Amino acid sequence: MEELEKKGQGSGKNIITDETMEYVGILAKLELSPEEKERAKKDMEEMLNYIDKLNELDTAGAEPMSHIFPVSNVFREDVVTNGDDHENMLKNAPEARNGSYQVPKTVA
Amino acid sequence: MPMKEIRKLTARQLAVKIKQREISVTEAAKAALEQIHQAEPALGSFVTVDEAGALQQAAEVQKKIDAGELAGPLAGVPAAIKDNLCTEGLRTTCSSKILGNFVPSYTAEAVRSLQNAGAVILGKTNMDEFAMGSTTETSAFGITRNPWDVSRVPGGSSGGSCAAVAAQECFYALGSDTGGSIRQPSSFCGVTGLKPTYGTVSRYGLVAYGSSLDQIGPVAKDVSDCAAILEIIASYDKKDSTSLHRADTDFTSALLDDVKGMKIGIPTDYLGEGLDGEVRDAVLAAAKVLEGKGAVVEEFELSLVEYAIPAYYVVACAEASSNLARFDGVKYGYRASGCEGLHQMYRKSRSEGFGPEVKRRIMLGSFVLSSGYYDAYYLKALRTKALIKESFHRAFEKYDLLLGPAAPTTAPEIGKSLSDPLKMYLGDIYTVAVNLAGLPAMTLPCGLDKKGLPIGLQLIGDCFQEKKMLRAAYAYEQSREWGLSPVAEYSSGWKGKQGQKGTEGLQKEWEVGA
Repeated sequence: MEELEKKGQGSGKNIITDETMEYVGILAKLELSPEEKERAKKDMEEMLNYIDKLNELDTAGAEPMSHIFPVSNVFREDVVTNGDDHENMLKNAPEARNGSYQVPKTVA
Repeated sequence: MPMKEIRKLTARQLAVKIKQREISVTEAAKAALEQIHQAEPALGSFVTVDEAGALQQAAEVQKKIDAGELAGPLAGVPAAIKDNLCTEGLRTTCSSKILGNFVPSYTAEAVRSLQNAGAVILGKTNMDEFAMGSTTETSAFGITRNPWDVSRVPGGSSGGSCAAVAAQECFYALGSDTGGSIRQPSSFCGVTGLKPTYGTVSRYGLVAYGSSLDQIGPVAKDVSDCAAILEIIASYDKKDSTSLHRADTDFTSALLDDVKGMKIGIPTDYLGEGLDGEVRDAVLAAAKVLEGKGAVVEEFELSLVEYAIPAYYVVACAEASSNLARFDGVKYGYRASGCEGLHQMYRKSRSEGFGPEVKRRIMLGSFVLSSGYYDAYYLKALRTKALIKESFHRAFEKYDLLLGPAAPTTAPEIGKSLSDPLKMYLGDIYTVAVNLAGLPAMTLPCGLDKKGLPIGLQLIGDCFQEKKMLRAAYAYEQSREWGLSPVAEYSSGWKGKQGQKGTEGLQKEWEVGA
């Protein structure tokens, strides 16, 4: 994978457009008020300007490290070990009906 | 023994007296609960106090001790748990509106281990919402105040746990540390806190923030207690795929007053610009103490320190944006009313349920993971993490242990930090790299500044070298003149106002019940 180096932007300023904010809002499933949006835009620009400091660093030889120690999936036999906690779990449901979670209409 | 005297005991001392029948478990629980009643209006360390449950547990634990079924080093000792660790039947909020009414149907593995060892759980402590913050001011249940000076923050995110231990509202507590959330508030509150090697304590039942960085750890009155607690909660757990098999978890065996020949490195990068002079002096004085006991102490350049914070915020926010996607108003937690359709319900529930700092981090995390930016930000941060890990690796080829401050300053005043998030993030400079590299580290008090606020000494070990770290910490502690407690001030009356209520009608339950 080729790295999108943002060379030259380390000292520059990131500009977050309204469209980007809209897009990120969709990804994050957040609906911000106009004031919140302005604030978030400013915050994100400031954070990204700061994060761009990483571009000073030559990381070409380094592999992305997601975990400190090698991790592998932990498998087990597909056997039910926990008891039926149905009722207990439904107690936390904002709305439940007939032993199921209830949500607003999803299909028009 | 008078309750006031009971409260002065460390967890291990109390357990001995319980074993010797000098103090009953119920008396110990009542001593803590009495202090909670007295101190909570001023401090607000707890989100939920389970008074009836604690007294019931105390009676049960006493029975088991009497029957000889429980004889561990912490049997019968009352503890507090950070409110991001699930407790069956006891509200677990993460100090967020979105989990304001959540009652888990299971208990976190670390808490379960403590219960099996005879802990009495007093309640759940306040924190920054979803552990995102450095001051405990982002809690939706109101702030927590520093017991040393109620006009100041206790630090964060485990601010409630650290304040509760400092104010003798409990004998020890559990916290969690993603970027310093145990070590920095321990420093601000003058208590001892430890973040173990990543994978040492099961994260099962810990509400995830940055899964590759999160570790649960003890907050206690001294080094011995920390070692004893860690010994109990360290375990391989098949329910956490990152949990490790470790054979060397007999941490209390490392409590020796002997650092002869131990090589200790002080990163000069941790003593530079931004570090308060009094903090610097106290930390270097602590290094001198260890040197006087035979350790070989020298300064060296760690390098890459200034890249740890930007890398950390990219990684932590990316993981948070993914982890917090589960809060959607369907199965548990807050659901917005009057929604048309499922997607609007998701968006509205999340927008109304999360506070500003959490939203800020979810947005940043979503951005750095989005297509077009993933390589430039997320992968870049992971590559930086690899380099940081490498620089620590080089350091530990030369040194047994690293030593430095836990935070650049002592506790700041309430209301001064949140207005400038970037500035607040910079306060994490000495703690976040440890999480990126998965290392164990701990904070213990090493003095007071002129304002009378505690200063924290941080010791950092190589992976799996908790014992070296504990040995040095214990040796230092033996020579330290401390025994100081903010509680002396308490007896003459807290100067603070009544604990502030949270936003949107959310209340700490001690306020409701009292």
